[in-house]
This record gives sequence, structure tokens and C-alpha cells, in this order.
Amino acid sequence: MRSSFADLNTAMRALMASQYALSVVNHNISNANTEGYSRQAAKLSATEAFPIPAFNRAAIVGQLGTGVQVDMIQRYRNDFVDLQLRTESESLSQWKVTQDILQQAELYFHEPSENGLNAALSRFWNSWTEVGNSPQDVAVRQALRENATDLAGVIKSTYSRLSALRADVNDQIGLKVQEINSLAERIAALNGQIVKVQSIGYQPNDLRDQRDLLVDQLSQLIDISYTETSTGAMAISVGGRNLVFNQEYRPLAAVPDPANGNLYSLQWQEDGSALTVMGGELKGLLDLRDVSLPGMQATLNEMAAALVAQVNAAHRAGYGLNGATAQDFFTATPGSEAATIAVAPAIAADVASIASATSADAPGDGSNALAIAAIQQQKVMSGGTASIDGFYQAFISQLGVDVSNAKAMTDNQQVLVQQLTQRKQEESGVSLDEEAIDLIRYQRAYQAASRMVTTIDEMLDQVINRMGLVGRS
Amino acid sequence: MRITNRMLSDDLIYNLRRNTERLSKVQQQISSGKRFTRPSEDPTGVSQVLTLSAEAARTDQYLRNLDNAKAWLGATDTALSDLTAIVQRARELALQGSNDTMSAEDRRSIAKEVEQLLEHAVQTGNTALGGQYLFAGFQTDTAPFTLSGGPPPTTVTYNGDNGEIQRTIGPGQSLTINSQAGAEFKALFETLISLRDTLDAGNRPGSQVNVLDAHLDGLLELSTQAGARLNRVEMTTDRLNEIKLNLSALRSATEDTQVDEAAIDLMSAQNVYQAGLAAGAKVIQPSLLDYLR
Repeated sequence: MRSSFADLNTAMRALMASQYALSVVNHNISNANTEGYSRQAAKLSATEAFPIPAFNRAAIVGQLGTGVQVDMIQRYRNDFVDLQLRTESESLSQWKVTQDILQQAELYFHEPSENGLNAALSRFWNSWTEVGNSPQDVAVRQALRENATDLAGVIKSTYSRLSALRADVNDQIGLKVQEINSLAERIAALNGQIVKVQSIGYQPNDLRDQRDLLVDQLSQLIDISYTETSTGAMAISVGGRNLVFNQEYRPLAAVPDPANGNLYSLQWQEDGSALTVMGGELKGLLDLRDVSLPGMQATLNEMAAALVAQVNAAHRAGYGLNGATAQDFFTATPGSEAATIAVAPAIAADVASIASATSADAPGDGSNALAIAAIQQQKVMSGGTASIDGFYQAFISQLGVDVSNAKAMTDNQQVLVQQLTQRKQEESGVSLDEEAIDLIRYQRAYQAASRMVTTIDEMLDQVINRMGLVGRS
Repeated sequence: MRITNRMLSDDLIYNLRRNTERLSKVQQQISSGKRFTRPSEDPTGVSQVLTLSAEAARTDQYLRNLDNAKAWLGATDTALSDLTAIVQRARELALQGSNDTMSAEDRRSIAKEVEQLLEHAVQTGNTALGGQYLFAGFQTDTAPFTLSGGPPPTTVTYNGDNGEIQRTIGPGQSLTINSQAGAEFKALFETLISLRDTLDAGNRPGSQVNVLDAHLDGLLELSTQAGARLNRVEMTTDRLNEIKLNLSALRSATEDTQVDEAAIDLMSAQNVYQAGLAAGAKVIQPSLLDYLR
């Protein structure tokens, strides 16, 4: 026989379950715009029916339900999309930082414009022709000196800006390493909390959201691989070595390397062994610092070296108005021409020293100046296949290709990441329409359960207060 | 597919960003008049523009060189014509002096005119353009011919050399612009001195008439040479002007915005952007909550 009060219990369970589910809806609506939040839902199931099969079971017609219970709060999350998204964001942030820095470098060259190296070179060569045309004209010689000083200035300032940019990139590498350490530390701490919550059988949904968000951020910085252990802790490794394991993390270190101009070298703090970075923003920054920017500087240097060598060789062969001969036109420190190129002090002090003539005491002879002007057309670079101007033009074109390639890659990755983010949202995002419907569903369920209590109450009232009144007057 | 509110707004932001990017690019192309302002926007185009602008600068320089050569050769031509006139007059005077009816007195007065011609001739030989002596070889800062002795002067000295002054008129092409006239002129001036002395002494000029004829031939040769060079200068100038025009047309085709095309692009970008805004405004606003009691 069942108790007359059993249904009250069933109704109470319904009230509690609806209230619980409403709280979950409330939480979802509250976090509809929270970054990294995954929607949650209360999973309901029917409680065990009565009676359970046994020889001494109650003699009733069949099993009767006993109501509802909340099994768990489920979190909607697709681990596979997370993995894909992290892989693609790693690549996106690598290309994005490459694009940003290369675009910066591209700006330093001021091409195409009248302020760029290309125009400065044209003015320089033309000045030599003018000196060849009017070797005795002091004004024309002064114009050459100014144009040569300008050319040297443009080369030097471009080179030093690239150096400054490279130093900036190095600073950023240091900052990114700190950021990685901080993320690793916070993930390790969350691991601890998650393991604790999970050990008592609860779902640490919000803690998991927080941890996933941190892992998302970490995957943009460096190439990671991760697995989740049975206790719920996430193990994260970089280059096959654990960065985070359970509640522990192993910090990375950026150590200035005196052998490499005090640029940071990346290591594991624990034992100082080298860290190999294969992806993410950090990889982009390292490639820029160690490959792209030094490459540009080397190209600029190669060009400046050829300019200094060719002009000086031809200049030494000539004679100035004042009889000066065997003099250099440019000075530069061998090996770092682009950083040190300048008009030689003797030329800067006295433009009559500019060797315009092929022989001494020939003031009207501009043939040496014309010979220097003709260097513009000579293929003295890249193993005799390019002129100095042509070499520079090819370099600018290559830089343009590199930047536009980085931009195209960034755009492609952006599309991929956008699509994967949509897929993730499809699974985990909060839909206010759905929540509004759930709100009404559970509200109605709650109302109906309350009505149930009233009904049972009325029934019991009948039995208790109105039955068996025979003989009362 | 399950669509959430966040997806709608993310999508809207992403697409509006792409549309504004496109709009801003077309707008920039129209307002700057250039299809690109950075190498990465069109690496090939920028490379072409760099080559074309360097070539245009070089061509401008060649044209300046040619102008300069033209001035120099023009001055040379004038000087040579003047000298030719002087020699013709001297020859007339020599023939006049050869006439048997001439008295010694008459010849002495002719000698005075020859003296004037000599001074004029030396002056012409010392013609300068912009402070540079035309017939001095590389010694352009020194008057090439000086008369000494006398008076009247008896000796001519040539202070110049045989330097050939060149102008670059194209890649690997140069043109000598000065006439190598030092020896020729010196001999001419010496002939005039000897003619003057012969007449001054009251004698009949003899072979000097023939020598003057030879000088006329020599001057003609120099004149022809200068004329031929001037011709080459003019032809090259025409050709380079044409090349300059082509270069600027090519450059413009490479880097200038095609305004009509860009205007259409702008309009279509604007339409897409506005349509996006309109659709977005409709989609992100309502939710079921608007319709529940």
C-alpha cells in the first residue's frame, strides 16, 4: 500500500527540480555575454519507481512513479572544435604579428614616394652628371654634396629604425614569456580547484570555462599540446616537455644572451635547457627578430657596401679642382656600411675635392664625375646581374610580396577562426530565445506542481475533516 | 544549425569590419589618386613604379644634358661663323693688297684693318659660355689664346689642351661637345699676324691668300662637325621627349586610380555596407522576450 502523503513528496521534488532548473536558466542569461562561458542545462530524470521488485513488495497494481530529480548540471562544450580552434588561432596570431611588424618595416622605406631611397639614389646619380657637365660650378658641387649627405642619411635612418624595431620585437618576446608563465600559473591553480570539485562528484563547469579560456589564450602565444587526466587536471606540454602538470607549472625564462647582442634566448627556468618554439605569436616574433628584420638589414648593408665600394673606387681614380686625388668620397666602417655611411670629411669640408676630372689640372674635365654617374647603370650587385638601383627595387618588391603574403595568410586564418568560433558558439553559446522558452517551461512546471500540492491538500482535507461525521449534530 | 545571439552579433561585427575595410580602401584610392601607397598593396606595380620613376629621373637628366650640349654647340657654331667672316674679310684685304696699283702707304692702312681683324679673331677664339671657354679643352677657366710682344703683338700662345668635353645623352652614349680647334686657331692667328706684318712692311701678300683659303676649309670642317653634333642633339632630344611621354603614360597606367572604375567600386562597397547595417539592425534587435506579454 502507498502512503497517502507520497504524492506530496512527488510534488515537492517537482517544485525543487523546477526551481533548480530556473536557477540554471538564470545563470545562462546572466552570462550570455561572458567571454568563454559555455551554456549549461539541468539534466532531469525520473526518480526510482515504487515498489521495487521483491517478494515482500507492496501489493499494488504496478509501479508508480515517484517524481523527478536533477542528475547534474551539464556544460555544453565540443572538445574537438576547441582543439581545432586552438590550432588555427595559434597560426592566426603567428601571421598577425608577422603582418603587423612587417607592415611597420614597410613604412620605414617610404616607397613609392619622393622621400624614399629610390628617389634619393636618382638624385645622387643625377648630381654626379651635373658635376660632370659643369665641373667648375661650385653650386653644382654643393648640390652633389647635399644629395650625397641626404642619401647617406636615408640609408642610415632606415637601418637604425629597423634596429629599433628589432629591439622592440625582442622586448615583446620577453613580455610574451612572462604572459605564458602567468597563464601557466593560473591554469595550474585552476587544475587544483577542478580536481577538488570533481573528487566530490560535482561538475566544475564554470572553473572549466575559465581554464579553457586561459588555454585559448595560451595557444595563441605558443604551440602547445594538452590532454586531460582522469582526475580532471589538464596537462599542457611545449616541445614534448610539461609546462603544466596537475597543480604544478614549470616557468619559461627569457635570458639576455651576451653572445647574441643581449637578445633574449628562451629556456626552461628549471634547468636552463633551450626551448624550441614551433608556433604561435612567440614563433612569429622570434622569426621576425632572427630572420626577417636581420635579412632586411643585411640587404640594406649589402647595397650600402656596394655603393661605397664602387663610388670610392671610381672617386679615388680622379682629381679634384684643387688637385686632390686618391680620396674616398664616402666613409663607412667595413661590415656595417648601412649604419655608418657618410660623406667623407674632406669632401664635406671642401667641395673642390670632389674628383670630377680624370687627370690633374683639367678644371673643365668632368669625365670622372660622368664615370661615377654611369655606375647607376652598371650591374655590380648579385653576382653581376643587378645594378644598385635594380637591387634595391627588387628588394622593395620582395618586401611587398612578403607583407602581402602575411596579410593574405592572416586573412585566411581569420576566416577559419571565425568559422570555428561560430561552430563553438553553435554548441556553447547562450541563445536568449531558448532561455526565454525554458524560463516559461520551468515556470509553468513550478506552477503546476504547486497546484498539485493544493489538490492533494484538498483531497486530504476531505478525508481528515469531512469523513466519518455520522452521529455529530 | 543552432544560432545564438552572440553568433549574430559576432558575424555582424566581422562582416561590417570587412566592408568598412573595403570602403576605406576604395575611398583612399579615389582621394589619393593612387591605386596603392605601399609595396604590399601591389608588389609588382610598386616595383614597376620604382623602375619607371628612376628611368624618368634619368631621362630628365639626359634632356638637361642635351639642352646644355645644344647651348654649347650653338655658341661654338656662332663663334665659327664669326671667324669664317673674319677670314673671308682678311682674304679680301689680302687680295686687295696684292693689287699692283696699291702704294706702300695704302698697304699700311690695310695692315691696320688686319690688326683689328686679328684682335677680333682672338676675342672670338676666347668665347666663353657660362664662364667656360669653348676652345680651351679642359682648361676651361683660362682664356685659351693670348697675344704677346709688340705692340703690335707678335706671338700667339695657346693655353688650352686637347681635352674632349663630353655630355652623357643616353645609357652608355656620350657626345663630345667641344671643337679641338686649338692648333687650327693658333695657326690662323699666326697667318693674320704675318699678313699684317707683310702689308705693314708695304709688301705684296703672296702665298698668304692660299693659306687663308686652307684656313677657310679648316673652319668649314669644324663648322660641319659642330653642325652634325647639333643635329644629333636635336634628334636625341626628340626621341627622349617621346620616351619621357611614354614613361609617364606607363607610370600613370600602373599607379593612378582609374576614377570611373573606382567610383563604381565605391558605390558597390557603399551599397554592401549599408545593406549590412540595415540587415544587422533588424536581426540583432528582436528576441522572443519582445513578444512575451
